[in-house]
Amino acid sequence: MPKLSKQTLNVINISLVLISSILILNLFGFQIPNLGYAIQDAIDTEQATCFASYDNQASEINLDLCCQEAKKQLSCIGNKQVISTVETDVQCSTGTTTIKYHLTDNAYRYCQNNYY
Amino acid sequence: MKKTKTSKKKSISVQKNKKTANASKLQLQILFVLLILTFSLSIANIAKAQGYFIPFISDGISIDDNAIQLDSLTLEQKIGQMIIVHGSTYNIDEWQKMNIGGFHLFAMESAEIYKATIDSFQENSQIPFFVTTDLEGCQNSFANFQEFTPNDQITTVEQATQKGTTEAKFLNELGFSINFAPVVDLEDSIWGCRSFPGDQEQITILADAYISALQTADVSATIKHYPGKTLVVSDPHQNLVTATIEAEDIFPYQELMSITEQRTKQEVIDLVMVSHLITTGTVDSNGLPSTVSPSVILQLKENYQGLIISDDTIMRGLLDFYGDDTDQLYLDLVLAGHDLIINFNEDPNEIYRMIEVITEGVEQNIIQEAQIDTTVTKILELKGFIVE
Repeated sequence: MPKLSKQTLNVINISLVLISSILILNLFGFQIPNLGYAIQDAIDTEQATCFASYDNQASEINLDLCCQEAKKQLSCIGNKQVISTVETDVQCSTGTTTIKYHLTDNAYRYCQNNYY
Repeated sequence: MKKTKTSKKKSISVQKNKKTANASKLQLQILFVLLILTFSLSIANIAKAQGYFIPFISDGISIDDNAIQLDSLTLEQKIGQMIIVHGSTYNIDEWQKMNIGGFHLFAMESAEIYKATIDSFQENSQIPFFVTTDLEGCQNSFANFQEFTPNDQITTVEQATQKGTTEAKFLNELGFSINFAPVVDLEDSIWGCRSFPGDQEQITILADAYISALQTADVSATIKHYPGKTLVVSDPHQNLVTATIEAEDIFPYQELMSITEQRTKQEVIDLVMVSHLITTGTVDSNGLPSTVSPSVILQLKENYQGLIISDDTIMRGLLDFYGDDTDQLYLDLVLAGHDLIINFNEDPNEIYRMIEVITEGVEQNIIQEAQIDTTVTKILELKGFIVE
């Protein structure tokens, strides 16, 4: 077995303590805040916006409702569209003649991060 | 003198080496313990994610032919029947273990996949699941392989009846038992296609024809979203909104829930879905989302013996209202009077926790067990059982 220096052993042990702590928290159902998403949200100032469109008419709807309906669709694909001067990035839909949902990247991330 | 200093230095050096050796040995022992601990916790987390910590609670139910002994169900089994989950196939075992009442399917690739999914759910279930969908017309989870007429294009009783007949046949063939439709909101200014056209009387007549056709073919219909105005009031920047309900908004509900000369008990709507809207006016939710407002649901129950179902309860607006205190939310949903609760949380451990929270609520007399018994009796009867 290769000899590990004291410093290396310290680093490994501290890392294992951190990993074990996270695993214990997860086991007991504590939500661990996602630092990456928090930083991304702080940097990215684009508005989280969602539109529902049907038969060439589009309405902005609130994110909660949007996420609830978008997750029921067959697929979400990257599809840039400009609706009421807002550039949306993702389209969630099932068929060609039914309601479609158009989300900005921020909105799509919001849906993924919040129970949906 | 020099010799003494040298031997002292040597002695200190030897002691240091011993201490260093002991420190390294201790670190290695700590490393070993931490590795075992991390490995064990990893296994435990994987087991939790796989649902191994959820006990098997669907045993011991007494069913003879079509008759079910209500007393043979434990409290947890009864509460499980009150929950509708998302029918994710990787959680089938967990939903069966928990004796869950029903599952909702989102859009899938084909009819064959739907059938196979529903069959695999129902295969080993003592009590069949409710299988639910949102088939409204312009809202249609099957739109990639089957289209249906949107409500805004239905103008006559014949068309409404035909729509109900066609959709019931389709849903029956796949194995669905409940359609969360029709919408009886008077106006749809958000999507433009989900409401029937006309005033409250016309909408009620069309909805009645649709419901009759659907339920005659053994697919339960659901009128939504009580108490109305959910398709007109929308603030894109607010997750929970308030609306004033007028008498005409609840007219369809009052009519469709009533037993009359023209509508027998069997023809009355099977389910009513309640929204999260905060309401004033004819239906006052007293500052609460309607779905957790006892005053809203008690008013419904005054003249209605069918099932009352919540809209999806993991919506951000509702959770924010409760400050993420899901324990209280779960209790309040039952206390408000719901018979069925939709919870599309994908984690079966959270669904099991919901069952446990409500069970504890009954054991602490916060919720009356008689209420649970009445609810579960209605659920089992809708599933076709004779409850003894």
